Amino acid sequence: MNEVLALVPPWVAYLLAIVAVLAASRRVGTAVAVVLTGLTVPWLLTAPAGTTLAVAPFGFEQVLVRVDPFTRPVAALFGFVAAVNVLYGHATGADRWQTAYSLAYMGSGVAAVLAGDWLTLLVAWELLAVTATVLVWQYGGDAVRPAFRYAVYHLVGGTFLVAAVALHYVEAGTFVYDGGFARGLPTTLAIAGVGVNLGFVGLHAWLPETYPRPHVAASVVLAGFTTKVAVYVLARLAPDGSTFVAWMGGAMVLYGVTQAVLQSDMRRLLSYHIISQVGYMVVAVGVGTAAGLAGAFAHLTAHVLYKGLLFMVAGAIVVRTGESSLKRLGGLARRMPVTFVTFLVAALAITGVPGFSGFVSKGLATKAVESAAPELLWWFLVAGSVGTALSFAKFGYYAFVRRAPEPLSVASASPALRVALLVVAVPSVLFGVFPDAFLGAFQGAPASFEPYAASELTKALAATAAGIVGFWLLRGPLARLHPVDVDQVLHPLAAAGATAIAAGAVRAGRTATAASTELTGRLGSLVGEDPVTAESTLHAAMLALAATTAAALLLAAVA
Amino acid sequence: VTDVVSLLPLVTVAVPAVAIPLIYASRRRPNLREAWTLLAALATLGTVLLLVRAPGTHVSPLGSVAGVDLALRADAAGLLFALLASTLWLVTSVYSVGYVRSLAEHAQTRYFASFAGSVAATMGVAFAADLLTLFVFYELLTLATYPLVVHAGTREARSAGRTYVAYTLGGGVLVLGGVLLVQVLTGTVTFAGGGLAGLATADPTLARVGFALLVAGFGVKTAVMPLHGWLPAAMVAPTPVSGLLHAVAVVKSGVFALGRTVLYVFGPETTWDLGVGLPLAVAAAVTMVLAGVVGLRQDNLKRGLAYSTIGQLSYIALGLALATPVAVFGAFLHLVAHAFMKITLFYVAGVVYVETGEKYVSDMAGVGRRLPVTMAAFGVAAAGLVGFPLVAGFVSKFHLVLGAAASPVPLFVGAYLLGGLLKLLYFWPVVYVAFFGRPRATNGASRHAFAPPHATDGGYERRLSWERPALGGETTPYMLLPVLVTAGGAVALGLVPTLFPFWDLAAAVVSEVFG
Repeated sequence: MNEVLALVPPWVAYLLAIVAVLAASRRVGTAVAVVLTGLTVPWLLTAPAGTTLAVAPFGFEQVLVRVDPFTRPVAALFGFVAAVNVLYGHATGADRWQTAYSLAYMGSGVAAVLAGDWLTLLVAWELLAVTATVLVWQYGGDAVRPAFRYAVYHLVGGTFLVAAVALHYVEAGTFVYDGGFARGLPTTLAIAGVGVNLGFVGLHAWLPETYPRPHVAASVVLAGFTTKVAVYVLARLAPDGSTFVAWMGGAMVLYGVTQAVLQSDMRRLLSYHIISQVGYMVVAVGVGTAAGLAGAFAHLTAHVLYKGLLFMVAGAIVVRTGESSLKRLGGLARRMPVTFVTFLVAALAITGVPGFSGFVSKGLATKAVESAAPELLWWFLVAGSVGTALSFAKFGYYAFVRRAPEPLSVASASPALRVALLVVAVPSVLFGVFPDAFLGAFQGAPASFEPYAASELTKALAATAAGIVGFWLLRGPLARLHPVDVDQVLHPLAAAGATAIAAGAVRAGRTATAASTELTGRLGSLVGEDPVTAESTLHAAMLALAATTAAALLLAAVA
Repeated sequence: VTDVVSLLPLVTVAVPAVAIPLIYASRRRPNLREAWTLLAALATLGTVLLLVRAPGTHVSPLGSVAGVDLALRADAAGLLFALLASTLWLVTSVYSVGYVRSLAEHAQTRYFASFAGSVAATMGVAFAADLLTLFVFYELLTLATYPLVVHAGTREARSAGRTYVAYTLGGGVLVLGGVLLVQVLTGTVTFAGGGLAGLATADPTLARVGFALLVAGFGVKTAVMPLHGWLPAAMVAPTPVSGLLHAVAVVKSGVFALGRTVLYVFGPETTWDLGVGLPLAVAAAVTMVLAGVVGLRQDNLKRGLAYSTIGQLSYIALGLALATPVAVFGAFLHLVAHAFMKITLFYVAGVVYVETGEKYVSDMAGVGRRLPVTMAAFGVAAAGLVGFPLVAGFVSKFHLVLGAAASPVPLFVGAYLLGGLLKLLYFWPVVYVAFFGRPRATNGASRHAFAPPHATDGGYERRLSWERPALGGETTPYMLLPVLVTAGGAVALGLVPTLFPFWDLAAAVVSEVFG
């Protein structure tokens, strides 16, 4: 059985699911797609480690599937999340084309993680960008322009990665992973390319701009894959870490959380939290120790689950109340109890409260940074924790606790929505309650790490308390601030720049053409030609030339 | 591989030529006339396929002129080009029928006859065994395509025709000079894989002059800047002409001849020893970027595609100039890949023109509703030109990038990637406007992302509600099928490139040149 399975890459199930979704009725299509995508989990848990499916469609050796300690947890996680996402899409009214594009996108993510060589990865990477663009695009309206900018950002990033992989190939002579990535320029270019997907500060504007725009189910789907695939690739590229990467991660933590605190659109707030949470993973990869890598992957796993849940909660609120801004929400705790409970689970998990997944994974990542990096970087992470607590205190207070500023109508929810929310909430609790089983899935997690040591508990509770108190004190000023991000300068500049350069080139071309026309005109007038005779002369000359050539050919053939 | 004396290469050239009198003879019976075209296209394709399958390299001697032996020789490079041109001639012939009949074009007989003549000349270019034969067919190609460029007979078309002839015949003169110089230096002009031995030892200055003459001459049809001016002008021709000739046959003859010069006359090593490879590469890289930038400002769809062609030809020219095995392999793959993708784009431009009368991107707001399948094919081909995976462009461009990375100047990788980015910026507004653009009642404002507004014909309001047609009913099947065939070909070449004969032929070229 395993041998047969090993011949079929898991992403084939996503292709079949697309067919099912498009061909069958909505209910049947959803059921089939949930089962097919969910199959990824058992496939990965039973597949033996090693590489399979060597092919060469483009003339180079490629490995479609590689199962190792990095890929196994991430790909299995993707399969679980994909199944729930399909269910969530069904519950929130996503149409079949949207589900099909989501499946293509999630399948690309799985293919990227399972790839055993850089060329396959590159193909999956580009497909991830294309399918994400189409997924956002498909929603139409306000989502169309951001989708274009999304495509440009990711094509630029992909371009750097292509260059890096090409230079790596020249040095290594193969695309297959074994032996690491070529040092120097290739690695630098690759990190720059992956940095776009990771949301490096300065390259991040696509993320908060795109994720809040499309259908709520599309937001949930997008939040789970692009940045996480990038973290995985970063770990492949630089398993020994890099000082720049570590500090960039620290900057992402702080920048993301600061922006998040200032947001009032729920999904935009969550999008900035992706940047900050991915920052933790980037720092942990950047320090370059085994514990760091384990912490990064554990945090990735925990993050995909609770961040997906948070987007699901936000989406459930948007779908049921029609509001997306915290300013117009309130009092939902009693009216949407399941949503509220799952929100609490996810918020406590992302904040890192003991008993939930984020506490364990963030604890491991922070510990790795503490033991292998400058102290300042560790303080960045702690400050990030405080900011996270602050912003989720804000989210919870405005959406669920306070009284609504004006009466809200809340539509009823389908049972599928409730199921999806609860199913995703379970692992966030389990991973926190059984930390050893959770961390055991990641190679390199140090046995000495005790998540529930007294010092860890104190730190986590202090950060959370500081955040909540901070929110209570800053509530007034925060509500009056209007956040600004780099995109408000960057994007108009880029558009104006592109237009100006193109216009300048055209003008230069016109001047050159005009000059040459003038010159030929003068030469023509020197011999006293007028256009009409010029044309007939031309025709005569061409006829003569044709006749001569034909005669020459005939002669040649005869001779 | 041994040479076999056979008539097949000559037959390949002769079949389309023989079709010319037949087309004229049946000018009063359009259906019979088009049957001749289709028959000739099928016969040409069949002969080329025979040659691809046949063992050995087939040669048809043509006698000698002034001590120079002329011959047609169907080697790997020639077969690749001939197979490409004859395949697409067949598809374009079907498309042409739909196009000229839908528009009730005048002078259809002259049109089809000139088309056949152009293909005959292209086959000659492909199979020419030496520079002189190549030169003769290269010039014949100019003459055969001239009536197609001036087809409309308007002032603009005649002016474009004059520009076209001035550029290409001027280039021809340079080529002739180069041929003579090579003959004097080495005593032969017959192609040899890896270059003529005599040129490596010849006087380097004279050899450089010979290279410059040949490259400048062939560079005209390759549309290397600043020799590109004729190509955007020639877009006044009917769309199938722009599709087959100005995206495949004519321009590819230029870049093919350039490949013959670099790989079969001078050889990769001598080219770089003489120090002429780098200037050619720089010219191609600059063209690639400039054409991309200028293309952004084009609101006229066909003009924009012409600039895209200029850029893409430079992809190939750069690969040939860098002359590493992988780059050359990529260049020949891209010759094929670009042909399939660009001809799809031109077909679509033609369908849009026939069905809606629109030529400007900013007037095509929402046309995706009226032509869903056609515009989807456009999106696929455009994605391929940008270099997204699963379409032909990715495979060829990836080889080109790899080849550039292994070349003496890896910086050219950046040129390829910048070129791809500019392509995205160019094609996005087109696809975006087609599917998401909403026509506004007021005229004048440009809906194009980068281009300035153009003067509209004032008939814009009637197109405010483009309606979705029945599936497959958006245009005549004569035009829809070719769109689907070439777009499907582009996807197939991106998914399973090794299954097509082009792959092995390109590999054979590399082993012929690099031993």
